[in-house]
Order: sequence, then C-alpha cells, then structure tokens
Amino acid sequence: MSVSLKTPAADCSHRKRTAAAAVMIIMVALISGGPGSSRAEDAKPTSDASALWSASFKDLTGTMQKFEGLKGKIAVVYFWATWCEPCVKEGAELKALYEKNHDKGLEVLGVAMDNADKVKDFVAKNGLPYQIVYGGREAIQLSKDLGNSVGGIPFLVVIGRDGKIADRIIGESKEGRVQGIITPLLGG
Amino acid sequence: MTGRNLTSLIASAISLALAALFALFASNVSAQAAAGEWQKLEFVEARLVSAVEGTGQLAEVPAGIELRLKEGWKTYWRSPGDAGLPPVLDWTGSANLKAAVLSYPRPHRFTLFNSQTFGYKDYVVFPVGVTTVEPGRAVDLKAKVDVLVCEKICVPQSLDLALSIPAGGAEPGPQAQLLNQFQSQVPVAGAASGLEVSQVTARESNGKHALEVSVVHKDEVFTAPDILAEVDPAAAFGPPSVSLAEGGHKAIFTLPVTSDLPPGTSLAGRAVTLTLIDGEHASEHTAKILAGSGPGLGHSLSLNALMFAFALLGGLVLNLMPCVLPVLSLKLMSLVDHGDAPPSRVRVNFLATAAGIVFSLMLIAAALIGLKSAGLAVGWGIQFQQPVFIAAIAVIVALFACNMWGFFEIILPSSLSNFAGSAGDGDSGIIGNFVIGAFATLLATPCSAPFVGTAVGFALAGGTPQILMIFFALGVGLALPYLAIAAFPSVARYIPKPGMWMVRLRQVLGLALAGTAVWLLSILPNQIGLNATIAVAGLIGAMVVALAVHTLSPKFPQFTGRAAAALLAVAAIALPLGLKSSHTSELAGIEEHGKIAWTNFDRDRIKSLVSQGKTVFVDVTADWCVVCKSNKKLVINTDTVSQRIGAAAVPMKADWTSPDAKISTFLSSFGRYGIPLNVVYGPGAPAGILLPELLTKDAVLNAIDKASGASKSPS
Repeated sequence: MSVSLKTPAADCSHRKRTAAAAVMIIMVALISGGPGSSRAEDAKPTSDASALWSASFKDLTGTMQKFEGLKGKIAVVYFWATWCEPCVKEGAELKALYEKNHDKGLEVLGVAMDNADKVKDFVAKNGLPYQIVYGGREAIQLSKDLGNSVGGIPFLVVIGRDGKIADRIIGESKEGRVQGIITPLLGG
Repeated sequence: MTGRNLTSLIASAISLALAALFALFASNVSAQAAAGEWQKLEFVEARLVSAVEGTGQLAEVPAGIELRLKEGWKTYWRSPGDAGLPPVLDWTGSANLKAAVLSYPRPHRFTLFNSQTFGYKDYVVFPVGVTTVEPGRAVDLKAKVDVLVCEKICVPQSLDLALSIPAGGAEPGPQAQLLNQFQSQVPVAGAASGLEVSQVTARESNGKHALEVSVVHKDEVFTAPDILAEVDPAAAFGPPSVSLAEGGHKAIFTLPVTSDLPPGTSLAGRAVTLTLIDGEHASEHTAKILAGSGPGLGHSLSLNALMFAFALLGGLVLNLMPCVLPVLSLKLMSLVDHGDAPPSRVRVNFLATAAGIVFSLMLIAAALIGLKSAGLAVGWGIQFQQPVFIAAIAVIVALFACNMWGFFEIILPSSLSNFAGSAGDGDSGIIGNFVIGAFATLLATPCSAPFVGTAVGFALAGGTPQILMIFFALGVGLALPYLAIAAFPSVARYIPKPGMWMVRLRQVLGLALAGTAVWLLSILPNQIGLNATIAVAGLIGAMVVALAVHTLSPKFPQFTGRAAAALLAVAAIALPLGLKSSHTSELAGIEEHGKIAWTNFDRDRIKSLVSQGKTVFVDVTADWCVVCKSNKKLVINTDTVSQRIGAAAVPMKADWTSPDAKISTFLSSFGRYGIPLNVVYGPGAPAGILLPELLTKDAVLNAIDKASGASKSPS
C-alpha cells in the first residue's frame, strides 16, 4: 500500500457530530487561552468566591439564573461536560453526596460546559437531582476565577457559609474526599 | 613527524570537520523539510510531518499530525463514544493548500463504568492527505489543532502547528516509514478488505434495541473481532457479543443500543458505518440497516436457547445409560419399598435427589469457570480458533466414542462406588436424598463422562453464562425423571427397565460422538491446511484402532494397545502445536517461518546477480504492514508461488519495520514511499518489474517468467 490517503467514508452524522464538536472545542480552547494558558495562577489561588455571586447562567428551561441564594450555605460548585469521561464517575458520586447531605444544608450547583440538548439528555438519563446550569465562555471564565489553573474538568469548588472557598479539586477526586471536606463544614 | 606532514594532517582534519558540519547541516535541512517544530503543551505535544521531502508532481502529498500525549493520557476517535471529542482542525493561513483530509488509524475501545469510548492512548499519528492548488509548487501548512486530552481530568488543548514542504523531488523523507506505519492502521474501505458485511439488521425485544451484524471473511479466520457502529441519526452502542460460525470465517455481532430511541422508532432504515477491527486488521463498511424479523437479540438468544435445549435433552438421555438407569431404578424401588410413606414425603425426597443432581453439575460448572478465569489471568484464552484446542477436543471426543463402544471402561474407585451405592439405601431424609442425587451423578460418571466431558470442552470455549447454562440444563435433564415422579408419581410406571437395549443405545450414541469428532476435524483445514488435518485425523483413527484391537482380538495385550493409543493421542494434539508458529497464528510469524529462504536486501547484489543471469525477487515488508502479510499468506507463501520463487529466483527481503534510509531510497526509485513493494529483476528486466500492491499469483509468476528472459532457465 503506498501512502494513498483516503477520506474515511464520513457520513452525514459524522459531519454533524464533528461540527458540534468543533463549536465546543473551539469555544473551550479559545476561553482557556489556548497554548499560552499559564499555571502561574496556581501560585496565588483565590479564596474569594465573589465571582460566583456576580455570574449568571441559563438553566435547562432557558431561564437565566443567579446564585445569590447560595450565600450563607455550604455549596459545591461542580464544572463538568457530557464529553468528559472522568466526569461520569464524579457526577455519580456527587449525586449520592447531594442525596445524603442535602437535608443537612448542602447545595450542589452543576455548571455544564456543553450545549443545552446534550446536558438535558444527560440530566434526564442520570436523574441528577441538583441544580444544573450551562454555559460556554462565561462558565470557563468562572471556573478560572474560582481557581481552575489547568483549564480542565471535572473541577469542583466547595464554598463555606462564610462565602469563602474552603477547598477545590482539579480533576477526578478520590472517593470520599468531598464528603471529608463538607462534613466539618456542615457540622460547624 | 615533519612540518609538511603536520600541515597536511591539519588540512585533512579541517576538511573532514567541514564535511561533517555540512552533512549535519544538510541532514537538518532535510529533517526540517519533513517535519515541523514540536509544539509542547502541558499534556500533549504535536508537530506536522511529511512523508516526502518535496511536493514533486504528487496529486496528494502524504502528511500527518504526530501527537505525543503525556503517559496514560488519551485523545479521541472521530466518533468518541459515550464521552470525548474528536480532534478539530483549522488550516486557515496555509498557502497553496486546496484540501487536507484527516484519516483516523483504528481506535482502541476503552471501557469505564459501562461507558464506552474510542481513541488513542499515549501516542498517535493522524495521516493527512494534502492536495495543492498548484501541484509541483511548495505548500505551506498552518494547522490549528484542537484536541481533547483526558486522564483523570479532561483538558481541551489547542496547538498551532506549521510545516513547509518545498517544491522539488518527492523523495521519501525520514518520516515516510512512520506515516506509512500509521496509514496502514487506517481501516481499509469496504470490499478491498476481503471482508463482506452480509447482513445488518435491527432487532427489538421488550423495548430493548440491538443491531445484529454478520460479517464474512473468505480468506481468513477471525481471531478476536470487535465492531464499532456509527449510525445516522446517532445512537450509542454497548460492547458487542460475538459468535463465530463457518469455522471462524463468519462473525455475528450483536450490539445492544444503550441510548434511548424515540418510542415507536427503531434503527431500521438508518445508514450505518461499521468499523471492524480484528487484531491488526481493520476495515470500514457502509450499509443500511434492515428491519429484523422475529424476537429481539435474535441470533445469540436463539442460539443459546438451542444449546440449552440440546443440553437438557442430553441430560435426559443420560438416564438411559447402563450405569445411570440402575440408579434411577434403585430409587424407584425405594419408592415401592416405602409405598406406605405419605406422598408429600416421597415428593420431597425425589425433589431433594433432583436438587442434588443439579447441585453437583453446577459444582463442575463452577470449577470450570474458575479454571477458565485462572487460564485467562495467565493469558491462556481458550478459543475455537485454536487448532490445538480443536485437535484436543477431537481426541477426547474420539476417546469417549471408544468408551461408548466398550473398547475401554471408566472405572470409579470401588470405595467410592460402594459409598455412593450405600447412600441410595433406605429412607435417608431430605439431606440424605440430596446426597444421593449428588452421588448418583458421580456414580453415573462411567457412562455420563463422555457426554459431560464433551460438554465441558464446548463450554470452555464459551463464556461464564454459557458454562452455567449448559451445566444447569444438563443437571435439569438428568434430574427430569425424578422431577417428573415428584410431580406425577404415576409416571414411575413408564420408566423403562434396564436391559440389553441399553448397550445398543450406548453404541449408537458412540456413533454420534464419532460424528462430532469428524465435524471438529472438518474445521481444522482452514487453520492448519488439508495435509496436516489428514495427518491429525489419521493419528486419531490409529488411536481408535489401537484401543479396539484388544476388544476385537483379546489375545492382543491390552496394555500395549492403550500405551500406543496414548502416544497417538499426544501426537494428534502435538501436531498442530508444532505447526502453530507457521500457520495458526494466521499472519503473524509467517515471514520468519515461511517456506522461502530469504536473503537480506542488498541493492548492489541485485545488479551483480542479474549480470550473472539470475532472477531476483525483492519483497519490501514490515511487521506493521498488514497488506504485506496478507500478500504473503495468499500469494507468496502458497505452494505454487513459493516453489517457483525458490526454483527460479533469488528471494531478497527488505525489512522496513524500523526506518532505513537505503530502503526509503529504493522505494523512491519507483516513485513510492509506502509498502508493500515487490519487484522482480532479471536478464529480461534489468530495471525491474514493479508488481501491484495487492499481489496475485499470476502477476508474480508472469513477472518471474518475463524477468528471467528468453533463456527461460535463468537459475
């Protein structure tokens, strides 16, 4: 076989999917600052969650939501996407965490970096019980403002009743770690 | 040392150093022409590469994107599965570029928490076909490559890559071998792959959808095939279950649909792209999904039902065996003896016996599953494609047939038989009856072993569910008379009495086992060739005769017959084992063990051999070149062609598994930068006859005739 490069028979669905992927990935890459995105921000992670109070995103019905209601509560803000493989496990653990601790005052806010249809399907299929919003550029900017130095997901921020960031986890968390962070906060 | 000598020494040293410097500079220039700068990010680094040094007059310039991921990280295929994103390319800013088409090497299937994704781990090269606006002129490539890379975190990465390919000769560059290697991993389109998708059907049962795909491979046997389906509109599929048929030439895949289809709709009518991967073979097929008839998950379900029915029937027939029926009769007599016992108690006792029978067979199944997983853990997979396994099962089945014909008996240790027999006495309560059931199975071993043993063989080749199912069905079948009597005690009257007819039945069933052995042997020619199969069959036949001799002519010493039979059995199993390296691994290993005495490639030697009037057959090949291997299997290593090459030509092999500048230059002399490449030189064709990429026997034989010239007897 000489190197005769042929197009794999790309049917209509491939093109659609590729186009959708293109929109998402270009969006994500643009916002993450591309190749230059630095980890220097790591050096001084903010403990301030004020970026969250000024943000607003659409929920799954298309209504804009603000998050001031989370002030004074223990909240986990979870950045994820349907295309993110490690988020599958993280999302399932957060669901259990929410069901176990919601009565004790825990709130979870899922911020999806994805398109609305995919998020709706995913939420319906997995029966996610907590509040879900979605967004593109702003969602990634918010995750960076909250200390996501790598620009990857899953990214998770725990906010205490004082409105300050108690902890953050970049990437898949070890089982039980989030519970370990929130238990003293809920008890206090 | 004189001053003049010193001066000349310094002068030579300087000129040598200059030459070395120039060579270094020249090699750098050529490396730059064939590869762009690496762009390094935190989790991935990438560059553009070209197979050629210049654009030449190529209609399509072979280039590619080389990605090195951080260890353990992965990126995705064009249809990434349940998560992931495919790479996205933007060629804005390129000059003299008409189109750049990305190809995907065959992806890996990654499974994590029931989710399936497809992609590449650690390292991949995506071949890119570049067409220019003005062929023959330089092309400047600028690519913005967006890839999603994931490990325990997913990070979208954006890379800006550049590569200039100058005008000038399209000589293969240092990256030609690398690109060719990954190009050979791109699935081959449709018919050219030698595979045929014979049927794609939508199935539905209780709201569960599945896609059933039948693929036929005429020339080769499937080993561990996997299939990836992309449908339009999109749907997600779980990993396929695969069953092989027609001696491994046909694979039937059932892919469960894991995404929700709108109610009332099915997959029927949708277009589907199928990517079939079997080891290093990969092919791509498009089809339209047909509406399936019959209940869902069709074939595999009905096949399992059939296996269950056969095992159930087999278990029931076991009751008629000479050493099983007396157990049943004994039990029936205990029923008569204890005729005054209340019917409910009789029922419970018979049910307990039935449970004991099923339990003991499930124990065998559990042991087998343990054995199989232990085997898998050490990489010892059992597959019906393994000739050694088929030969071993054929030997065992033939042995059992001999047992059925009375050529030898399986004898239990007498203590065990006595214990089992005594357990059958009297009214022993529920536990006692349960033990009777378990021991009845053991007691029946001399007659049931041939069938249970055969079932063991077939079950080992199946999965855990099949093993459990076969043995459960066997147990239920064997326990059926007890269950029937428990339900309807009057049935006892219809149970046949032991007698000579049982011996006849045993002989007839022996014939059935012999038929099974013949069927097993009929699978072998595909894998080890007809001659070797005849040899295996001959050894097994001789083994049967060796065992039969004593029975037919009692003067013949029994021990000698048995020893000879044991040796013949070992030989029958060992024969395919010996052939394994040359035949059974199908393509792998053929080059090392082929019939041709290859010599190493030496371009200068070709000229001198031709000048001596000899014919030279050159094969440029590599371990990663799938087409090369199939050329060898289907053409070069066949008897006709290998004998002709051996008799009339000097066979010369150039191995391009690793980069080799001499081989690259040789390829470029034919305007090629990829393999397979076969050339025949001789007095009649001193410049060489270039053979087609997909060889045919005629093409090789005609080229040898032509190259060997008018003399017709060149060697």
